[in-house]
Amino acid sequence: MADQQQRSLLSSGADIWDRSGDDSLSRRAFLGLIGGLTFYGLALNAILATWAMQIHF
Amino acid sequence: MLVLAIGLPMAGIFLASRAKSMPVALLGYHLLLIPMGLILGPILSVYINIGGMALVTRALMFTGCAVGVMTLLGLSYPNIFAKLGGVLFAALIALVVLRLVSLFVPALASAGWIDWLAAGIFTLYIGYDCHRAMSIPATGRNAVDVAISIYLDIYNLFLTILRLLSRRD
Repeated sequence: MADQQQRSLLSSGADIWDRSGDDSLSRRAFLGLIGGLTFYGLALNAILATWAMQIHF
Repeated sequence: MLVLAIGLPMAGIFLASRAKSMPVALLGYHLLLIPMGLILGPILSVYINIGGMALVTRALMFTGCAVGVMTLLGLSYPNIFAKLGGVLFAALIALVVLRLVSLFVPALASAGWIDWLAAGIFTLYIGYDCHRAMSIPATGRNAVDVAISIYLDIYNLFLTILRLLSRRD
């Protein structure tokens, strides 16, 4: 439930639509960066979750 | 524990959404990732005790299939998902309210249809966030923002599918 609240908090932050201050990437690089960051997050979660189970966190 | 479960991830999302530079946004992303990963361990332990590793593996497979299909749909037909933003946000708020109410109403807590609703919302949100990736300015900070959104969609979808499958077992 906390995750859903976090997700709604994120969705309400509309300012990301208006950002244009920093260097722009090509669309392909942008999508690749998003995919890489998401995969990295999930992989880090898998490692941390395994470690947390091993130490009975 | 409450700080780890709610406080740090909220702070991470807040930091990432307000960041002026990509490194700060990445710091916010890690403030979200690390506690969410640590919390996932005990949650998985509970489900492994219920249905073994087979349950977790099946949930991973279903989640992977949903992510693959919705990513393809979101990138191929962004116009369809562009119209869903308001509906999905309203549905998400309704889901949060339902979950809060179910803390005090035991009948709601065991209602399987809420989990199906949650699975539908998070599945569609993956497509919606892919549409966002195609339409917002392509900057590093925005990439972190969209990655956080998709990460949370997948994380929540995985936990919802785990709960649905554990009810069936």
